[in-house]
Amino acid sequence: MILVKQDIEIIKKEMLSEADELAKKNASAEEIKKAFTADLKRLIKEV
Amino acid sequence: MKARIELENVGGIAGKHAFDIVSGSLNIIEAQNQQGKSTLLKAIAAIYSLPAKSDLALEIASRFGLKSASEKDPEPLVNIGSDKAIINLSLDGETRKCTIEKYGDVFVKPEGDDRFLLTSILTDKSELVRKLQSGERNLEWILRLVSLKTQYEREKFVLEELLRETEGRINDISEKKNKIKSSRDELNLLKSDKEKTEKRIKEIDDKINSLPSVDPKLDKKYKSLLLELDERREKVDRVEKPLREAEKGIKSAEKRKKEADDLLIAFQEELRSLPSDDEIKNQEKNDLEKYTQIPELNIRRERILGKFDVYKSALKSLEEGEAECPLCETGVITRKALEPKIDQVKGDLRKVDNEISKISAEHDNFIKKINQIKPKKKTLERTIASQKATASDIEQEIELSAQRLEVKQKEWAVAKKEHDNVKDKVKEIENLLKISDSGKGALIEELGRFRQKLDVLDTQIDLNEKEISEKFSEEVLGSRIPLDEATQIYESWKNLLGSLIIAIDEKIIEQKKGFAKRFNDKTRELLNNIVLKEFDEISVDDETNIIIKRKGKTQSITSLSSSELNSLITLLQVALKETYSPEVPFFLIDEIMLDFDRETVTKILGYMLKVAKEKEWFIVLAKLGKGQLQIKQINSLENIENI
Repeated sequence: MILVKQDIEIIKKEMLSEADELAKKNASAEEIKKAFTADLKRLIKEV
Repeated sequence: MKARIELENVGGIAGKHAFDIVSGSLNIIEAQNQQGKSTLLKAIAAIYSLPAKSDLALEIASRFGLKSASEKDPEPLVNIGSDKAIINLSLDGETRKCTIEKYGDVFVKPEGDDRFLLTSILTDKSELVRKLQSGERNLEWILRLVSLKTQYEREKFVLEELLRETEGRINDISEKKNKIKSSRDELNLLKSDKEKTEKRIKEIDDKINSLPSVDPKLDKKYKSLLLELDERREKVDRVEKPLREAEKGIKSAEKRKKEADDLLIAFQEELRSLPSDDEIKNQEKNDLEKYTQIPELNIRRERILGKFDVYKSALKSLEEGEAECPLCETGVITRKALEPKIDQVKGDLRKVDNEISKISAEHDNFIKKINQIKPKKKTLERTIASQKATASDIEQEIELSAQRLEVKQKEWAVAKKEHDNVKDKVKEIENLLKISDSGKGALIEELGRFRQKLDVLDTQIDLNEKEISEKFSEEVLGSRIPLDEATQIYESWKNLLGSLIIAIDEKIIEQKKGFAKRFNDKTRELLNNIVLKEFDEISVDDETNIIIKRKGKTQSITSLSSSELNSLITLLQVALKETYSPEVPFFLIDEIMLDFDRETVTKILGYMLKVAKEKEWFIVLAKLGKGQLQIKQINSLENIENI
């Protein structure tokens, strides 16, 4: 696994859009946690 | 536009009753007490607000008498002599239904919106009324319900929790690194001790060898066994390394197998959640059956249009002075006979159009849904097949690794047994030497002690190295990765979470400011339209506090007279309705709230009538009258003064 440094800004922007979607659909704390935790995976990639 | 409200055993109204109200006008519900004025208002409120999901909405619903305060109490909207109340509201071809069981659930289809309770009802029990009458000037409570502030706050809370967890992981890794450092120091000490012990063994060995031998034959055998013991020890070490590797390999493969199985189960569950092929076929059949009704409906539409043209032409004839018409029941064209027919035809046309639009929309939605489901199913089926193949490959790998491990374990066991046998023989000869050669006896005994120490040191070094190797990696999302990489990943994740929290914080502030801006724009527009002499400016600041200005000076709520407060509340309630719930075309008012100067009441009601006409809203006003319940419509400004 390696860290995908150059994509962090893109991931941040996408996570913010995701935050808007989650707010609009009134997601529960559990759903929010699940969605954001899944984003950790996007920080790293298998090598 | 007409709305029909049908009540069955609702509140104080037993049995079935139906009421019509009209959009673009003020609908005045007039009756003496206990005749069902409030029940009708509550029925409309219930259908647009229940099931009331938030705590605040539940509290207000209970205060309005729409919901019981506790599960043990009967539902207040169910008539005392009945087990359930039914409310239907038909509007523009759509019907909203609400069924309330006396001690049970509330079923509302489609579901209402909590915001209706805060924005669209003006009675003495309204939240705005209660807050302002108690001198409270902060509107945070409504901001929470009409904006996304609460949702973003929830996200911030989750992000902060994730940040704390991440910081915890970073600390754990740092502690692990410290432990590894002390384990390494310990390992170095053990290794140095081992080196010293080996050196000492060699020294004693040399000393023993330099002493003259009493039994040269035994001595020779002893020396050759010592050499063999060293060889056997090296062999055990050689076999042990691949054995440990094989054990690790199996553990890792088993973990990958579990991940592959979990993923397979998740894909299979996702596939099961989609409709089966047979279900899709049935749905397609049903959709087609409905969709084929459209040509027939179009023919019906054409016929209605034909009728409409005939009536229009008859009306035109009437306007041009020709009174004879074979279509009219009276034989002559009269406006009285013609207008209801035109209304009827318009109604029929609207119904057919609604039906066509409804079927077309349902068909479009269905096709869109099916076009998403079918490829998704295929992709999932392909993914499941490939995932099964992956899981099966890993299983085979585990089987092969297990066979290899068994071979390695046997090799190690043989090597260890051989080593131990030689060791026993060495001990045996050492004992013989001690007896036969007293000169060497003491040295041999010392040698035995050092060899024992060497064994202990070897075991400790082995354990220590194993511990370091286990601590040297961290599990991130199911994979073990080196500590330094894990630290890098978690540090980036921590920074990302930190900057997200700041961005979400900005969104929370934006929600507040957005709320204030929209609200202030509306109150400014309202004041421009209504021109209230009591107030120059009504607004909310960034902290959602209401600011009232009169003659350029800020005025506190508690300094307002009762009449001024009521006109302020009414104005704010209208602003809340128009700003935050304009999509629901109902606004309910209890006359009791219009207890302030007639001029202002007339201005506000006049404004509302204007809005009702522009937006096709239903303004419903409950008013104390003298007889049975009746609903009358007021459509012009002149008549407002007579309310």
